[in-house]
Amino acid sequence: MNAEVRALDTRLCPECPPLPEGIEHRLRDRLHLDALRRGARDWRSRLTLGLALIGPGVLVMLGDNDAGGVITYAQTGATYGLGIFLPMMILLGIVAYVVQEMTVRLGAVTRRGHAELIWKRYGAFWGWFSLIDLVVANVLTLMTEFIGIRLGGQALGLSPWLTVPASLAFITYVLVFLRYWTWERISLFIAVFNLIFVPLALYSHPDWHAVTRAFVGQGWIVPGGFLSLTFLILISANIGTTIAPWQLFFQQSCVVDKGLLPRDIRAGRRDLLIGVIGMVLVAMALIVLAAKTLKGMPDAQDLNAGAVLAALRAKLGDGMMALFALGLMEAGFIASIVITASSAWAIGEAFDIDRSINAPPRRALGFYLPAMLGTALAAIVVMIPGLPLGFLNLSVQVIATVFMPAAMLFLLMLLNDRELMGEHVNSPRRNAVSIAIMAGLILCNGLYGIATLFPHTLGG
Amino acid sequence: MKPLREFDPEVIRRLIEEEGWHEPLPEVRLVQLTAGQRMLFWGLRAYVLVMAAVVVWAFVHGTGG
Repeated sequence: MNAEVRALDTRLCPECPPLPEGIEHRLRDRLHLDALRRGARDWRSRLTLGLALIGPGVLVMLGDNDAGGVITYAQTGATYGLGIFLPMMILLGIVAYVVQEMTVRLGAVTRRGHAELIWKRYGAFWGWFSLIDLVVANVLTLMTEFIGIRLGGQALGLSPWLTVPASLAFITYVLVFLRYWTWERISLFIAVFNLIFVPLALYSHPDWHAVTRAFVGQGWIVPGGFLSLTFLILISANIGTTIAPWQLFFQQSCVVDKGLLPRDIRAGRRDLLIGVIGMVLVAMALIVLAAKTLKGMPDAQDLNAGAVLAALRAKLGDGMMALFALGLMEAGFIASIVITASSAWAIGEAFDIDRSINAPPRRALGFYLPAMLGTALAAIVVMIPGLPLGFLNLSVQVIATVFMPAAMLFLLMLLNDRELMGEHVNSPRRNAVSIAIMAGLILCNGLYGIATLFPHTLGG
Repeated sequence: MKPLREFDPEVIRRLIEEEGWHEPLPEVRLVQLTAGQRMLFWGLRAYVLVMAAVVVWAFVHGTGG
């Protein structure tokens, strides 16, 4: 944020002290929350307050169920049915909560974004590393989002020359021309449609007995074993679609731009928990749906969106296929919105320029433009004919897992920095759990690497 | 949501002072990583490069399990 200060317009507040430039919108958002907190105590007012406090957590977790994730979950259900991956979603949800909760504390206490803290605390050298990691991973991920938008739209009879540019235009509009509060509300509205997969799963009339058995360890059939390449790829992809570097940068910066403070940490955790529950529900719904409709298809682990949609049409009819296609488009759409925002914030923080969604474009072109260019590049690439889309999706998810330990290391170091965090530093238990998560990621990736390069070494 | 001008100036002033919006953020001091931390980061950096190469290799060879 620009460090220049000036007096708030004297017509608004004659007695107010000087404030940093561009704080008015954030102040208005805080005044709105303050009024709700001090207002009536009836259920309607409390619900309004609760909804006003929702934002970063729900967006990051429902944005997490992106187009690539939808296909990954479909591949998972198609390959392993109602088995180990169902209860594993709960575990991954817990992992996501543990990791993302740290960004809530970090953002609320320091009032600085993730990229800014890395840059200022550890220097430009490591700042550049983390920024390049993020931007590269984000552009790759955005490609999978636009692939989802394109393929979902094509299933509905819409030309990609309409859906992809229109999506890009909308993403640009909401980020560049709306203020934070409006951008957040519109994004939340879009994110809620992520839940469309839940009624779809119910409509497929799954075997609920088998679903229940999966949660008590029965029916965990893993063809090829736990060290098979298929299993390792899918588990890496499932992890990569649950936690990814962009989520760390996004949620922390979003917390800062929303103006959350230490007093709001509990609300931030609640927001995150709601998001995690939504994410896990949708992931499970997709696995259940795929297990019912796609199990037994050849090369299930390599299914692309087109094959998934065709199979759904055959098994559930045009209507349900259309709903899935809409859900796929929505997943790509909401993820594109939040990932673009994460790039914008990270780049703005790295170069210490005006970096709030509240900033008007004429004042913050350096904040908006690089992120929009990255998103536009992703949109352009997916329009190239003949692009091998199938394995790209899984590769991007696995790459997210690969980048994650390095991103988590910075996060852990910052959360243990008492000079920055004061009483809000990580507890030893939180550190132990986080390190275990990092070790698990590295182990998983390592096994995937060995199984890929030396297929028979692990006996899978 | 009502615009800023519709809020009572006294309420605005109270909130600014209560939540510290007028105070500059504490400076973030640059720290040097220890030798151990640098080794850990470079190790992770090497791991990222190796794994990214593996993923690209798998992608190019269509190795999907």
